[in-house]
Formats: sequence, structure tokens, C-alpha cells
Amino acid sequence: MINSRENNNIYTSQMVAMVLILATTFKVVMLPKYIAKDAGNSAYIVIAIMMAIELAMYYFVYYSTTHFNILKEDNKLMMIPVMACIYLVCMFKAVVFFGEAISYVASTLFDSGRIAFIILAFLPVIAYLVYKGGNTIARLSQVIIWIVIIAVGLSVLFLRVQGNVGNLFPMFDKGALEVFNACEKYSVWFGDYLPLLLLCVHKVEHGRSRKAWLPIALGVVYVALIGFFMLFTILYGGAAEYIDFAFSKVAVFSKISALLGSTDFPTVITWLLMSIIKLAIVFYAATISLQYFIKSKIIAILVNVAIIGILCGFVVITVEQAHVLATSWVRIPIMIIQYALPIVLAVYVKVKYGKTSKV
Amino acid sequence: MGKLVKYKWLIFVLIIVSVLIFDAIVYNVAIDDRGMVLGLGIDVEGDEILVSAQILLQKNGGVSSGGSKYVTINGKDKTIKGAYSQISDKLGMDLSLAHTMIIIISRQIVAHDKVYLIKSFLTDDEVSDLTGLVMAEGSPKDILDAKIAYGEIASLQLQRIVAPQRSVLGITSSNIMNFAVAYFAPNTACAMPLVHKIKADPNSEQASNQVKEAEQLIVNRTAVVTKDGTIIELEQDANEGYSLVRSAVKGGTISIMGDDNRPVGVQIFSSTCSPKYSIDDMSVTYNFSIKCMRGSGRIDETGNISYLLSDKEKERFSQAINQRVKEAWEVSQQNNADFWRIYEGFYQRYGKKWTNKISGDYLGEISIKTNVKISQR
Repeated sequence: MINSRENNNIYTSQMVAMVLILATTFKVVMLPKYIAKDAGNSAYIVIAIMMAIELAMYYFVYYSTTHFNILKEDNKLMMIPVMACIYLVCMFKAVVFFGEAISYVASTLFDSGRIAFIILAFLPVIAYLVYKGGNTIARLSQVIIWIVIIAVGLSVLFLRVQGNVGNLFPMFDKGALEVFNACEKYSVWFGDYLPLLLLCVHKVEHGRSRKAWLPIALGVVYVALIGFFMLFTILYGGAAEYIDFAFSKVAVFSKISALLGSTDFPTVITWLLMSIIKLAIVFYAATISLQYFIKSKIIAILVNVAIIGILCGFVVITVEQAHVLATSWVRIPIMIIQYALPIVLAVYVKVKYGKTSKV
Repeated sequence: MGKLVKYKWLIFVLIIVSVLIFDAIVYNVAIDDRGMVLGLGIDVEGDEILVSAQILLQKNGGVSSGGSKYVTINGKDKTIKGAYSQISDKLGMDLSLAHTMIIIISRQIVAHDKVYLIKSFLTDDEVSDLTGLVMAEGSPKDILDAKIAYGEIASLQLQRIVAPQRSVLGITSSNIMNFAVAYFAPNTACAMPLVHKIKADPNSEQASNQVKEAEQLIVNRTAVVTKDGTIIELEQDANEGYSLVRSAVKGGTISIMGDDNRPVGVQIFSSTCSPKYSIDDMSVTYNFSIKCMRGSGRIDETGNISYLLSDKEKERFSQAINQRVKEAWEVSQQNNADFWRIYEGFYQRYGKKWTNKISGDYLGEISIKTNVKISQR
């Protein structure tokens, strides 16, 4: 058991908001370029395969989080390796995603953005959200998701595409093997469900069941991401592998009028909010899992802030370095953990609690 | 933890103060203190890159205040960034390229194998991917310096002429993104409008300011840049044919001989083209769907004035379209330059079956056909 005062109880509707943010935020930044480089015009097939696996994994996560509260589990034999695995995966992902977020802000929002100041702007906000707890992050997601929906709605409404649908063909342009290699190589950008294992989800909200919301949200995410990757290929064709910060580039094509300009500004603002939420969720999971070993949440936050600050300030400074890290050999154990852990945990919950302990 | 909550107002004040300090310590130039670049000219002089920037000076007043609102400043350096720095130093302001609407390149850029500069616009975030791209007949600096008779400055005038929204017959607009997509596609040549200037009568404002000579920008040809750095020009008729094939034309006039043996202009309202590729007989059929109308009325069989084309006039109009497309195709075949994106079209449909079948000179093996469907309103 970690801390009985830690409020990690959330509703299904809040989980849905978190899933919408978690599953999309960092898949629309550098990932389209990386996958385009390896899989050519079949990038959307890579995303379709990986997201199909991701959707299946959410079933296990939802089962575990609705049947037991991980923070109240007292089986140390089980919890020590689980928490260690979550900590390693989440810290690794936090460094990669933080590196991407900082690079984006530094290179596109400022003339000469100084990394240190951008880290200083991000980290205290994220640390404070983590300090407030999973419940606060979930409520914040619930508020922000409406801004996200409006921004995405505006972008889709005013989208004026000048691309070539033919760019999507022939399928498996560089070969089927390259598509599957890309799936494995960029697996770090997937597995967003892992931090959610540390939350406890209540199916019934104000007396009403929201069971259908999660599958609907996952369906929306699935279609939206495949659609985005297709659009990116339609627009940039063979040049896609040279395009950094995909969402920012695509947003320019959503133009209200020549006079009023494009809707890229609301998109960028919204993405910044989403990136803070996403980083906060990943950081929260890393903090809670570390807290399992060192007991104090404040110290866990400070340790993680120090690690992320040092790594992103001095080691993983550029987006290229984040890419090298994410595609290094470390990705293999990360991938194994992120796909095995939810299944193992769900089996454990099924065996130990069965139908006796529903949240 | 509880203690922290007690100091929440102090934390709140600290956050507000840090936000204010953040703005002060981060290098962040106000929009008024930036030189807004509306148009860029890129040329080569010796082994250096000459950049000409047409800049809007916001502090010198708005449109109604008169005076010098725009300046064109040149910078020369081994790199494009170095040239920007020189312009920035001369201006005493940071340059902002976010509002750049048009980039004019010279033929020298291609001749000196510096096409990668255009690619760098795509990978850098300074200029929008939708920024228009044209090639200058002569120096881009001269184009930007033109005393425009029918507009304010060259950048704005040129942007209006080649704007994709306008999409008139004979102008196949190009931008950084289009160029890069063609540049990275296999075997594909990149096309962009070719601009030159001619003398024109000064407008009334110029005349009142004692301006004796004014200039007009003309865009009626297309420059095709091949992968090996050759520039091919499409003259007016071929250019019109090419624009009908490559873009959805929304305006323009083609002259044909009327039934009364007098030339008549056929006004095009819209034209779309859908190609159909056949690997079996190595042919491409371009199906045009054109909405058009006679420019001037004729007396029809019932004695009324009609703006509809007769069947014979329709046939002549179809032949005129066919002729223009054929001329553009001949340029492509003669120069072995695939600006029609034939390779890409076949590859997208047939994949490896296509790549295994063709030889290096595949354009010579391809035949094209046209079908023109005319609707009148």
C-alpha cells in the first residue's frame, strides 16, 4: 500500500478524457515523420496496426482499474516488480516526450528559445499537478478536453487540402516487412495506457453507467489518428519524412479565410495544454511508482524533477537525441513491459479478486 | 504537504511573478519591432547567395498614411541565414518570415545546383509551406524593385497573380510544399510560374508623383526544373494545356473560329481533369470536364441571340484544348521531363508492375488521349 490519502479515484468519463489526450498528443508531432521515413506512404498502416493493439490493451487496463485499486494492494511480491516496471517505462517515456515538447516550443514558438527557461516553465506546472494527485489531473483533463474538441472541430471544419490522394498508394510501398519493422521500432510512442494502471476507475458516475464511453472514445481516437496520418501523406507525399512537428504543419491548411488566416494558433495552444496533461500523467505514474519505494511523495517528485531536468537540459536536448534514445535497444524491454504488464496485472486481478471486488 | 497549501497565495503570486520575469528573460521581440518580409528573392552571385527581401515597415504608418511603407533590402553571403542576418543588420530589426507570401528564385539557383535551398524552406519553420514560388526571367531583385503600375508592390501583385484560389488558365501556381513533393517524388520534374516585367503606363498616383515609367509583371509561361538541373519553358499555348491538366482551372478564355468565320472567345468558368492510366497499352487518358460559354452572342437557328456554342464550335473548342495539351506533352517527351507526373500516376496504381515494365525513356513509350466533356450555362 502506498498512501491511503492519495486520491487516484476517477470516473470513467474522466478516464475517457485522459485517453483522448494520452493517445493522441505525441503521436502527431514527430512520429509521422519517423514512420514515413521507414514505412513510406504506408505510415497509416503502421498506425492502424499499432492502434489496434493499443485498443485491445485498454480492455485489460480497464478491467484492472475497475476491479481493484493498485495503491491499496498489499501483495509486495507482486507490487515491487510492477511498480519498478512502471517507473522505468514512464521515466523513459517522460524523457522522450519532454524532449519533443521542449524542442517544439524552443524551435517554433520562440526566435531563439532557451531550453533551460522552457524546462523551467514546464516542470513546475507538471510537478504541481502530480503533487495534487491523479484525481486532479483527471478533472483537469475533463475540462481541457472541450477546448481540444473545439480546436479540432475548427481545424476539420476549415480544412482546405491541396494534396494528392494517390500519395497513399501503392500500399506497402517499401514492403510489408518495413511496415512491421516500423511498428516495432517506434513502439515507445505507443502504450499510453500504462500510467492509467495507477488509477482506480469507477464505472458508475452519479448513478449512471458510462461503460460505453470508453469504446466510443477509443474508436474516435483510432479513426482520428489514421485520418491524420493519411492526411499527412496526402499533403506531403515523399517529402513527409522531412517534416518536423506534423500537427503544426497540417494545421496551417485549415484556413478560415485569406483575411482571418489559419486556425493553427488554437491548434498550437491546445496541443500545449494536451502536452502538459500527457506529461503530467506520465510523470504522475513515475512519481507514484517511485513513492512505493521511498514513501515520500514530495521526495519522489523532487527526484523525478531532478532526473528529467538534468536529462532534458543536458543529455537529451534536441528532438534528434530524443529519437535516438527512443529507438535505441532500450525500446525492446520497454516494449515487452508495456504490452505484458497490463495483461499480467489483469490476470492477477482476475485470479485474486475475481468478481468479488468491483470498484 | 499541508504546509504548502497554507502558502497557496504566496505560490500563486510567485507563479504570476515568474510568468512576468519569463517574458523579460526570454528573447522575444514585439511584433512592431520586426521587419515583416512579404516577398523574398533568391539569386546567386559568384559563389554567394543574394537574398532580396521586400519588407513592410509597420511603424511607418498604415496604408492611408502614405510615405515609404515598404523597402527592399539585399544581403549576400555564403549561406541564406547569413544573408538574412545582413538584411536584419541593415534594417536594424529582426526579420519575420512568417508572413512571406512569395519567393522568387532565379535561373541561377538551378544552374548552380542550389535547388536544395528551396527544400530548406520546407524543413525550416520560418516560412509557411504554402508560400508561393515563382522563377524570375532575369534577377529576382529586379522583379521586387519593379515600380508596379497595377498594384502596391511586386510581392503583393505577384502573390495575387499566382494565388491558387484564382487558378486561371495558363497559371499553374506552385508553392514550397508542391515543389518539395515533386522534388522528392521519383523521376518528377518541378514546375513553377515564370515571371518577367514589361514597361507600362504609370497609374494616376505614380503620375501625380512625377513617375515617368512604371512596370507590369507578366506571368504567362511555366518553368520546369528537371532532376538534372535543366530548365524548360512552356510557352503560352503549351502552358495553358499544362494548366488544364494539372490544376482545376476557374477562369480564362480560349479563342476559336466561330460559325460566322469570325474569332470568338470561349470563356471557361471551371475545368477539371481526371487522368486514367492504362499499363496494358501504356496510355493516359485525360478526361476534361469544362463549363464554358461563348464570350459574345451569336444568332442561332431560331433568330435569337445565344451564348451557347454550336456543335461545330464545341468541336473546335475541344480541338483547341486537345492542341494545347498535345503541345505541352510534346515538350515533356522531347525533353524527357516528367512534369506531368506520369511516373507517379502509374506507380500509384500499378506499383512494382510499373517499375518492372518501364525503361529509362518511359515517356517515349506513353501515348496520351483527351476526352473533353463540355457543359454550358
